[in-house]
Amino acid sequence: MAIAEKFRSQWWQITLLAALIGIMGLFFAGLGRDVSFIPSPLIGRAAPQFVLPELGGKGEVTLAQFRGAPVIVNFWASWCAACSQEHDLLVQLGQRFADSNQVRLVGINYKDSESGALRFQAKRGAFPYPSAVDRNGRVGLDFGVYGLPETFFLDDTGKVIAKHVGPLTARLIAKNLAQLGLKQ
Amino acid sequence: MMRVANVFAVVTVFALVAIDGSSSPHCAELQREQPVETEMREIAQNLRCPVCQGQSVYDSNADLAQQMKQTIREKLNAGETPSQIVAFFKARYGNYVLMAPPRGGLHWGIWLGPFVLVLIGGGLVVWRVLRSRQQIIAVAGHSAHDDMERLEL
Repeated sequence: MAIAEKFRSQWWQITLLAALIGIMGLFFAGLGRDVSFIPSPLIGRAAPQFVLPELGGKGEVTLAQFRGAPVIVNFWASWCAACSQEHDLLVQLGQRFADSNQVRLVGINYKDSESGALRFQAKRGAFPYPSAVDRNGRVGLDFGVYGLPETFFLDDTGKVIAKHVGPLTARLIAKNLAQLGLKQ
Repeated sequence: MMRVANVFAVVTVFALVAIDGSSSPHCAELQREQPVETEMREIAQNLRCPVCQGQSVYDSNADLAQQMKQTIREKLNAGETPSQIVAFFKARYGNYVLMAPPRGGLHWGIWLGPFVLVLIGGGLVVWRVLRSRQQIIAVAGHSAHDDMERLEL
């Protein structure tokens, strides 16, 4: 009875304390957030179509040519330092799926010079898959690209399943391949 | 004193003439601001630059912001309305790209939340003050009653 009485007289103090703790909790959760991260509205929607010249000048690269298989779209550039961090992993991934239709890979060379892009591959190893040239970043804008490297994972219908901003790691690749329904 | 003011006026006039006659391409650009530029500014001021923290697309010189400004110009020239252009960027970068959160649905919480909190807080303060005043009156009344009783005794 005394406790109930006490609670009735102090309920507002308890509410205030709870609210304060709640706000502090929100702030604390916010501390661990990456402020530069932008959630993509593209996830769950069809990836933007593109028709771009192929790096090396051999023809065109279109998203439509990969229809029927899951696609990994990787935006890269020779001026992007973090791109060399993930380069070896991408080359390995490309080699692994080179002769299979399980997953197709395509690079998009974003706001780069042809000579720079070719020099980057000569030095660090060539991608075993085609790269499209997005010189003015038009296609990048359609994909909502803001910081390289960015990688999009599309399912076999062309829908964006996941997006990663920043260099890929073996763990991230495994996680996203699993999301595309591929076994390791 | 008069002389100082005169000198100041002359200097000001010369300075203004100098600015006006300046061959700086930036000034020339400002003087010849096209209607498209004005419209572009109004749109770009309400879009958040994705690569800079808390800066509008208009205020930013980042490569991506420049590209977005150019895209706005091209779309205005193609006859698109400002709301169509904002929707174009929103479809690609999400609500993040808006300088102010949209009005509608759950977003009203962001707009009205602070006012609701102030109302609740203010209400609590008023309620507490009224209650403690009532208590003081009650206590005062009580002691007066006691005094009367004591007097009677």
